[in-house]
Amino acid sequence: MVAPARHRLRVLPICLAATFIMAFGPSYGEDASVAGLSDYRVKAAYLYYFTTFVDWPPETFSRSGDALVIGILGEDPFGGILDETLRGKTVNNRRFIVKRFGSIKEARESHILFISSSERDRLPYILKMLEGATVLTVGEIESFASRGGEIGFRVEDKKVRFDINVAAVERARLKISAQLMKLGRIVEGSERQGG
Amino acid sequence: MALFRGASVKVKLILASVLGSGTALLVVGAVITSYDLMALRTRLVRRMSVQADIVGTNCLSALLFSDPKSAETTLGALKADPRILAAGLYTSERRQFATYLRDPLAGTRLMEDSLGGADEGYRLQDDRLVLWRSVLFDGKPIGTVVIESDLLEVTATMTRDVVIFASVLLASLLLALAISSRLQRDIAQPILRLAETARRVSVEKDFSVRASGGGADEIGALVTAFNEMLEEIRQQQAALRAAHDGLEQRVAERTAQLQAANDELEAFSYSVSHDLRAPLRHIAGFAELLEAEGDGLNDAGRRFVRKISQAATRMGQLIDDLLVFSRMGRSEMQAATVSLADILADVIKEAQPDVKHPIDWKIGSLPRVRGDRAMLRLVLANLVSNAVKYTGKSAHPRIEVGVAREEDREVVICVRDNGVGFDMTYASKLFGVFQRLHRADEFEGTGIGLANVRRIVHRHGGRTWAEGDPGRGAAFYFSLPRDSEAAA
Repeated sequence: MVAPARHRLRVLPICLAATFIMAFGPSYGEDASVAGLSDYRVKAAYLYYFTTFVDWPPETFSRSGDALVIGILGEDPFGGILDETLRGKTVNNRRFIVKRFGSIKEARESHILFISSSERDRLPYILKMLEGATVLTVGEIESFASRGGEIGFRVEDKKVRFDINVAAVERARLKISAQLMKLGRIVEGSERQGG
Repeated sequence: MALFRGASVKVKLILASVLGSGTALLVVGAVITSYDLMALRTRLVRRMSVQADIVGTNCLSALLFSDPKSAETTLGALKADPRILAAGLYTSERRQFATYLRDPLAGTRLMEDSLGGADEGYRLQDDRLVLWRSVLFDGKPIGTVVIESDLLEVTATMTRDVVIFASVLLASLLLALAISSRLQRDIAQPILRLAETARRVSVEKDFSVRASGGGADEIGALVTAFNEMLEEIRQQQAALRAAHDGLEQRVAERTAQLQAANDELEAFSYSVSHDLRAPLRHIAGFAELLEAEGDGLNDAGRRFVRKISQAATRMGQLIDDLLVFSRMGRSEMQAATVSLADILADVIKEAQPDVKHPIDWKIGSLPRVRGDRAMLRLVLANLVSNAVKYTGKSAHPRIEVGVAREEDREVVICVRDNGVGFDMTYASKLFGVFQRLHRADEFEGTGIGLANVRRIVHRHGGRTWAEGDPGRGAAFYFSLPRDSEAAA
């Protein structure tokens, strides 16, 4: 099984090249840098994956019949992709419910709330309205996290990455696992901005 | 093996026990070492599985969120374990996601090759262990962690095991050697002593020695049996010697008795013969006187007196011959080297052949022998005079004397004539005293000559015999031993 030396030397650059090329959605293999649907497929998956690494207080599930609610506030950029992604999936034996909220008040009942870019202008207001709610706010608005959101998507090197506002997460009484923390860029949240 | 067969019992015993214990130790050592090896490998596989699981769990988010850099950081933590040469994270599509190389210069191994059909497993190679475990998310594999570990630990343990075992083996063999060297004495020494005794018995023929040693075991029984056999042989030998000695003594006794009886008989016959001569002389003398005073006798009376006188003369001749014969048996032999040829020439000169029919002599060369000159002369004289006598009536008498046969041990001399011969039926009687095959009026003689020949030849250690054919002649043979020293 030990490859001859010359074979080994040839393999090294191939492996390194593969590492770069393969920096995409692990289960989809699609190019996430392509704007539009592909990006949202990745983001929908990420929303799903977040649920693995975030702990909600148990009482938050009693209001939803043990289901994990992912809400979208504002215009839905996913179309059917999010529903499609979560269909049949569970996390910790909880099924998913995707809800689209018109009112912020209702949105407080969700576990993850994706704040659409359509809400860019009234973000400070929304965040203020969500204060005290045990909701993981996720958005793709510029500087979402540093403006008081909890996790903000951004595209870096054509890959979907995210910022985490730890202070905001703590305020929402959520726990994000270290595994997720090490993947995201930790940003300082300004209460003034969020306020 | 041939060397072993030739070795002494002592060496065999020591070798057997040392080889036996050595083999047993080798087997034990091999079993323990291979068990150790198996256990070590199992432990290593288990530890690496745990490592892989931990790495897999820690890389879950990196896989999900497609962050190879983070995964590489996680894999880099494996640096803490010096045994791990390389590690890799692969996507469920078997594409490389992140790698860790302990020594980047050494390059990576083809970990992809190690991924078998199964999601989890391991492969043990000569110097490394390659192990792969699935990374699960929501119960489904989303990637694979591969860890490649060296077997230095296993090798080191193996080396340690072998060193320990070799030391133990060496020590045990030395101990076994020491113990068996001591113990073999109990077995080998009696056997060696027994062998030495057997050797002495066979070389020195000394059946009185006894093997010593031997306890209550088989060797002891062997020693006892051996000693009993020796005793048996010794007794039999003694009995045999006693019987032999007794026999010799008896033979000597009988010989002495026979000799005494013989001597007595000789003395008796000598004195009888001697004593007979006096009355015989009286008879002859008075018969002559009576003949001289023949006037008072008639013709018949004178004829009777002449018969008496003739008979007396003849009887005197017989008695003289008997006395000669008797002397032949009694007189000392004067041994010397004598020439039979010279004696024969002498004898022929004295023989008085009939001038009417000259004898055709055929004399072969005769040997020099050792013996009594006078006696041997008598032998030849008797045989020659016999031949002359019995060819007296032949028209062309012929007498041959010569060596009939010459062998290593004896020489055979033959006197052959073409005279009247004799019937072979009576050949055995020829050499007896007063045995005659022809009437006295036909051929004169007392019949004691051949008896003398036989007696003399016997005293020289030889034999006599004769061949004959009535009317065609006779041949007389006598043999003398080559080594005439034996003649007593």
